[in-house]
Parts: sequence; C-alpha cells; structure tokens
Amino acid sequence: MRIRELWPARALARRAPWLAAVAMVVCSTGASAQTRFVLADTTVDVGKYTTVEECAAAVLRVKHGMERHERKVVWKDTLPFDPHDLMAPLPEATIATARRCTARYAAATVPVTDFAILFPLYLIADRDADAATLAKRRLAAISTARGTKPASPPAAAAKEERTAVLDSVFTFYMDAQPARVSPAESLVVAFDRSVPRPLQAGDVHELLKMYGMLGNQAAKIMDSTTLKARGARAVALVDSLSPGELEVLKDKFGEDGAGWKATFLGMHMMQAGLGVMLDSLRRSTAAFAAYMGGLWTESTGERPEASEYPIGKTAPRLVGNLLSGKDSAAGPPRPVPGKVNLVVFVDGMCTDVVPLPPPYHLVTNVQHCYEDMSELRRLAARFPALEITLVDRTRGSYMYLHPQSAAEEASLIAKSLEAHRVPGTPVISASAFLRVAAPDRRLIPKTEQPNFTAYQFGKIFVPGGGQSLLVDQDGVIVFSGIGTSAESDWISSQMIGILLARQTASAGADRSAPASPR
Amino acid sequence: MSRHRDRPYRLGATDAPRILSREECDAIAERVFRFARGRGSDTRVGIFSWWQGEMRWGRNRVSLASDRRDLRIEIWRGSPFGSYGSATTNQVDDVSLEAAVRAAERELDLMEEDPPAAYLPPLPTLDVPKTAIWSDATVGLTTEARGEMARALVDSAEGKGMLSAGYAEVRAAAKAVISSEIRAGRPAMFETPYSAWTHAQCSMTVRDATGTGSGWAGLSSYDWGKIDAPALAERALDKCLRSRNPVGLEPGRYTVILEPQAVADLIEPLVYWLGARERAESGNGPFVLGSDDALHITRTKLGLKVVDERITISHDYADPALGIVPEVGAGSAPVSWIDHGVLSALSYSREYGLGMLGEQYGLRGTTGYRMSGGESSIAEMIRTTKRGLLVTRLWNVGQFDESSVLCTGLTRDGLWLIENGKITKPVKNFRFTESPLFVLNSIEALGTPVPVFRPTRSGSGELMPAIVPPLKARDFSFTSLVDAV
Repeated sequence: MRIRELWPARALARRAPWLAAVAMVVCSTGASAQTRFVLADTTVDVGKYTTVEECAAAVLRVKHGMERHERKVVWKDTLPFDPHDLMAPLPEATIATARRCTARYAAATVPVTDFAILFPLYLIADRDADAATLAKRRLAAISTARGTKPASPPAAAAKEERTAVLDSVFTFYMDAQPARVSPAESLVVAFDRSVPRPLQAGDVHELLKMYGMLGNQAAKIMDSTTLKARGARAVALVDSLSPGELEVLKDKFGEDGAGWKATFLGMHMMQAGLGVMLDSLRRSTAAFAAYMGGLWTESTGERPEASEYPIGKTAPRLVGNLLSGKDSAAGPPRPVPGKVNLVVFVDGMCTDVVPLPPPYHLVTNVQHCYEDMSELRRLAARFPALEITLVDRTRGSYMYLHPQSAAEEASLIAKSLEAHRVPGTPVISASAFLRVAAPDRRLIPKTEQPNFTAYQFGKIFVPGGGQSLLVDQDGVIVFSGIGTSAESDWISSQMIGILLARQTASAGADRSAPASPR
Repeated sequence: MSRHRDRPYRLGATDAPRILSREECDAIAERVFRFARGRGSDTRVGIFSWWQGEMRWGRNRVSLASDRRDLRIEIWRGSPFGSYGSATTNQVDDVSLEAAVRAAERELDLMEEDPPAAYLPPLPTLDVPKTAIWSDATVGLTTEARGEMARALVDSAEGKGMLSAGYAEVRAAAKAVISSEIRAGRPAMFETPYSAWTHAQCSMTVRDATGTGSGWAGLSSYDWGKIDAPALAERALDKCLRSRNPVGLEPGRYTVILEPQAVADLIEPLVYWLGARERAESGNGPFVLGSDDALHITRTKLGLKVVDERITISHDYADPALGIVPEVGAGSAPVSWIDHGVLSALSYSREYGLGMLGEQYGLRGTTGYRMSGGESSIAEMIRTTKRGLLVTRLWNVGQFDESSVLCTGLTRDGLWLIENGKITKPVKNFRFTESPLFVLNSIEALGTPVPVFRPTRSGSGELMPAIVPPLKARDFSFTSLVDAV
C-alpha cells in the first residue's frame, strides 16, 4: 500500500486538496445522516465520531473554517511575507478539535493501517510523541511482515515501502503547522545513516529531495545554520558517488540536464549560504556574476560562461511593437537605463484566470497568478524606485474572446493587468504566427518571438510563465527568479535593496566628483 | 401542512405536462432566485425535464409498458467566474427548492473563496443553430397506441409460428440553464437557451421456435411518423423466415453487400475518430500522418484522400431528415468531415478553436451524420454479384487497433449467400476482422442513403441520428464461423 496515496502529505500545505478532501469526506458522511431536503445539522459533536476518517474530516473542516475566517479578517495578500507565520501555532480551536477527536486513539494500540490519517492529526493535536510512536510502529510493521509471513515481500519491496513511509513522515513534519524542522531533520539524518554504503544513485536522489525540502523550509524561516549544514551534506552525498552512479543520478533529474544542474547549483548555494552571495552583490554585479559562475563550475563542472543562468549578461532592449506604456508604442526604452529594473515575463494564464465551463471553455483557476501579482504589488510599494516591466505577447485569442486584431488583444491584456492592479509598465509585442495551409489551418507561433527570443538564455531560464529578471542600473542581468512568490520575498527584497543602494551611492558619487578639467 | 402542497408538477399524474415549457422553466428559475441568500451573487438553475413511453416484448408477450416522466433541477450558487456550490432536486415546491438552494450554499461555504475576477470583457454572443427536432407524432403516441402497435407486431410473427421480441420508445425532453446575473444584465458564466426535442425508436427481432433463423429490423428518428412499425415487423419476419436452417461456409474474404444498418454498425468506430481532432494531433487514431519536425507539430491526414471518392460524411443542422439538437459554441455551418473521399475536417472544442485556429467557434462532433450514397439498389447489387454475402447487421463491433481502425465483430440476424446474381441460401454467422477504412476503399456500388437505427444518445441525452446507404464491397474479411443466430 502506498501511504502517500491515502493522504498526500504535500496536500497539507495546499488549499485546493484540503478543500477536495473536506468536501469528499464531509459530503459522504453527511449524506447518510440527512433527510432529503432537510438542512444538515452542523452542530456535530466530534466526540461522537467513530472512525479516523470522520475525525480527519472534522478537524479539516474546523481548520479550513479558521483559515477562511482569518482570511476574512486579514487579507495577507497585501502584507510582506512573514517567516514567523510558518512557525506560529495553529488556532486553538483547531488544536482543541484535533485533541478531542483523537483522544480515543492511543498511539501504542491504534491499527497501523490508520497511520497515514492519524499521523498528521497527532501533529495538529500537538501530540508529537504519539506521532513518533505511531511512525515507529508503522516502520516495525514492515520488518514484521517481512520476517514472519511466508508470502512476505522481497527485500527490495520492503526497502521501497520503508522509504515511502519515511518519506511520508518527513513530508508530514515539513508540511505541519508549525513546521517540525528539528524532528524532520533528525529523521532524514537517521535515514541517511541507515542507508547501506556504498550509496546508490536512487538513495542519493531520495536524500537530496529531503535535504532540498529541508533547505527550502530553512530558507523560509531564515534558519541559516540548517541551510548551510544540509547544503554541505547534500554536496558531500553527491561527491561520494562513483562516476557511474553520478550519471545515473543525473538521469533521474530528466534528460535535458536542466534538472540536475539547477539542483546541484542550489545545493552549492545552500552550502555557501546566502550571506556570501549578497556580500558579493554589494561589491559589484561583476563580482556577483563571478561568484555565481564559480558556483556553476563547482556544481556542474562546466565553464562559468556555460552557465544557463543569464547572470552577468546584458539585458536586451525590449520591443513593445503593440504597446509600451499605457497608451502607445513610443515609451522610453526598457529596461530603463540608469535604473534598477525588474523584468517580468507575465504568465499568459495570469491575464485570463477565470474558469469557464462549456461552451466557453477556458483555463482553470490559476491561484499562483494572484500570489505573483500580490508579490509584485508588495515590491512596488516597498521599492518605489524599482522599474517594473511586464512583458507579454499576443496569442491569437483572449480568454473566451476571439479578438479581431493583435492590437485589440494587446489592449485586452493591458486592461487585465491594469484591473489586477499589477504595478509596472506593460510591454506587449505581437506574436508572429504561421498559418498551416487549409484544411489544417492551425496557427503556429514562430520560434522567433520579439523579446521572448532575445531573453532565451538556456534550458534553465525560459522567459514566460511569470519568470522574472533583476537588472542593475547598467543594464546587466543580476538574477533570475526574483520576486514573484512569497517564499522568495526575503531574498528578492535583499537583492533589490542592495542594487538600489548601489544606484543611490553611484548617483551621490557622481554629484560629489570634481568636474573634469576641460 | 403538506411539504409539497404547491407542487405544480406532479410525478405520475396524467394531466401533468410531459416536459416543461420555456415559460415554466423561467417561472421555476425566478422562484429559485428568490431563495438565494448569503455569499455568491449568481444563482444558476439548470432544468432538465423528460418524458418517455416504452413498450418492450419478448417471446410474443409484453414485458414492459411504461409511461415515465421526471425532471432534474440543478442549482448552482456562487460568484460569476468563481466558485459554485451545487445541489440537485426533482421537486419544484417552494420547500424543496429552498432546501436545494441552501444545500448549494452550504457546499459553497466549504469551498475556497476565489479572488474576484478583476477584468471580464463582455461575453461573446454565440449563435445557436435552429434545427427541426420536434415531432407531434412522437409526443402523441399514447400508451394505448403503443399497446395496439405492439399487439399488431407480435400478431404478425405469432401468426407464422415465430417468436417476436422488440422495443419501442418515444421520448421528449427539454433543457435550459438560466442565470440570475445574466437575467439581471450583469456578466456571468453562461445560459443554455431553452431547447426541446423528441426521439423515437422501434426495433424488433423475430426468431423461429427451433432457434435456427433470426431476422431483425429497426429504425430511430426524432419523428415517430417516419417509423413504419408494421413494415419493420414484416421485414424482421421475412428475414427470419428466409434465414432458417443456415449452412456453414468457409471463412475468408468475400464480396459483401452491407445493408444500411450494417454499414452504420461498421463505420461507428470511424465516425468517433472524425470527432477527435485534438486526439489526432496528439498522435492518436487513424488520421495521424506523422510529426512535422520543422513546425514541431503532429500532422494529420486533413486534406488527404482517405476513402473512396464517392464517400462524403457530413451534417447540416438545417437537414430536416437528421434533426440534430443544437450545441452552443459549436458553430452552425454545415460540416463535411469527409468530402468525396478526402478528409476535410475533424471536430474540435471551442477552446481548441480559439487557441489553435484563432476562431470563434468549435466544430461539433459527429453526433449526427449523413453518408453519401449512389444509385444502386440492393436488388441490383445482388444481381451483379457472382459470389458474395448479404449482411443484415453487425453486432458487438469492437476496435482493437486505433491506427487502422481494425475492428472485429459478428454478423447477426440474417446472412445469405449470393451466387450468380441470386440469393441461394442462408449461411451461419461469421466473426469478421476488418477495418471500415479498408471497406470504404473497396467499394463497388453504393445505394440510396436511408435513416438507420442509431438509438445511442449523447451524454446529455440528445439523439444522434444517422443516414447511411447500403454498399457493396469486395474482399471483406470473415475470420471464423459463429454458431449463434
């Protein structure tokens, strides 16, 4: 049995799966208790619930209700990302419901088949010791089955099951509120030690995934010690592989190489710590580019110039042949010379985030768009001197409409960005299409597209989908992936602040410099 | 107080309307709108009502005579372009409607609150094709008339000592989806205009008591007036009598004369692929040509000849013989999927039309179609056949290779050997292994297209009519003998 299938741990951190789980369980349990067309009794005593599924539904319902209530009181969309939020306890009502509901389930005696449902409930109820006990029993059940039953799974299957259980426990810890970083770290360290040596690529892949998640969580809560330590361990793990196993590991990240390169670079960045990176940026963009190039070489074995991140490259001038600025195509050049710029390649989906049923058929809701746009608004409010450029292109259709011209489509895109109050200057170019001969008649976007082609630097950075670039006052690209998510808020703010400080300092230096002799 | 005191629609009542009229749907929606409260400004009401009269018989005895009607009211509560909670009821009294509204609102309360849509351009006005899909003759076929008809059909078989089984159905249905926001002149998702349609079918199998002969005839249409039940019975009886005591024949490749029903049964899998452009461009099905490395797309066989040039498969909403229920957003122009043998169109969704073709409309699939024919009669086809088989219908047709649409199935209810221009003897049924594409490329003669039995209904219950000719084709592959009649 795949534990993760029962209650995908990642779902704990995402709202839609919560909703689906709540709706599914609540509806199915509620239906049997209702008389047709009679209002359901919502004042249910959770103490009467007899199954763990009912218990989970009740706790999720309360948790979800509390979250909804909180969002109605404080719409955090407009506030800077607060790393302490991740470590804050859950609302008392949620914890109390979980405690009442799980009171009858003793970790030492409850069936281990309920592990995947009960473990996160124990964490919500602050019964961490019971959660650990249950996890131990679940792990022991694997070895018991293997040792006593004649039809026991072979060793490989047992190992796979054990890895799956550990992965579930780890993910439950990481997704819990507040995040259980310490027990998760202990777990992954113990798992690391338990893996037989020499290490196989599959084991390292699993461990890197865990260390990566630990690193992400540590970065979010600004735990630089954990970040560095786990980065160093991840680098050491990869270094310990034989050349053959290393190639197997790389294959596990995908065929085009972008996956392992990005991961390995991330490991080295974790190991080095963010402080060094920011210090080099304070010195100059050239120093920062050299530092990042060195990390690239260290992590991939390739020359710094081969880096697939555009750091240190000159930002090409953007072409707004349909619209540049609010009104016309005759705006100033962008990125704006002499200023710090954030160039955002708008996710096409984010200008049409409305779900529509047939016959209009349009995209499903894209929650990340709202988050991206909120983050842009926060950055714009905090750094008024930052020049934000929103780059988009026509696609031949807009939401449920069939615009008569590219100009009309550009106008619709601009209206949408404006309505979403996305700060920045839109630069919209007309896409070039080929029309396949009738009766096929498909519109095929040409490979060469204004702006999007110029900013295509490699396999890792592909313009579009909300990707963004930070450009310094000299028009040199400093960093990609800046800004548009709450998790990257802190690092984004730091880098933008450094560049703006450099811009101010250089303006001051220019003013104080003696006039050159004529 | 009775909960259903004010119910205007009484299930099972003889004086109740069979389906709801446009005005009745509007009135129900207005009542539902009044019950809305709390979160969500839009109330959308989908009203689906149907009536169905059936008559089923077997071994010359009626086993089912029904006259049923019901309705389904789906209520959605939510924000335009945001989340909706929904509930369904089949009661239209105030208490039930309000309870359903509350249930939809409770579901909405469990849902994530979507941020409001920031910018919504006006929805386009989409054409709704006008079609002929209503028949008073269908709705007017009373329970008594159906009973008399069944008695007559059974009598004709029983009089000859045969066993008859059959099924007759008449149906009327209506649907409408009404939005409170749109009715108030504000933008919201959509409404589905009121539409009503009828559907009728009759099929009959006659077998001899010893189980050696079997005949079948059937027809479906939106108009009962176009179904000549006694003629169908006579045809089924005749086929039964002529198919008794069949002889075994070696499997192999034979020239075949496929009656219209057999043609419709054979090409059904092919018709499916005509409605799957997105699938073809994903590399699935018989109409994939290959990848175009220059454009990075998968090419289809659009524009290429795929079957005999005498074959055209098309539909037209205005075709009164077809009677296709309209679909909003699918366009209203006539479509030829295969035009004189050339694959000229594959159907697609409106989403595909907007995104991939830059067009306002999608292209509706082959829910109803007409296949072109020729001048030959079946009698003439038989006269010109030296050795071949006459096939009444095919059964249990399944596709097992999608790239060639290679299918397998059985002949059924009448198969005869033709020798030197004459039907000489009934033969035992065969299993065939053949592709409709191969058959449509081996045509020797085509007859006049006629409506056939295609009672399959689409997902939303609408009929899928077909008009198909008989055809004569060479080298049809029969792979084994089957003992069943």
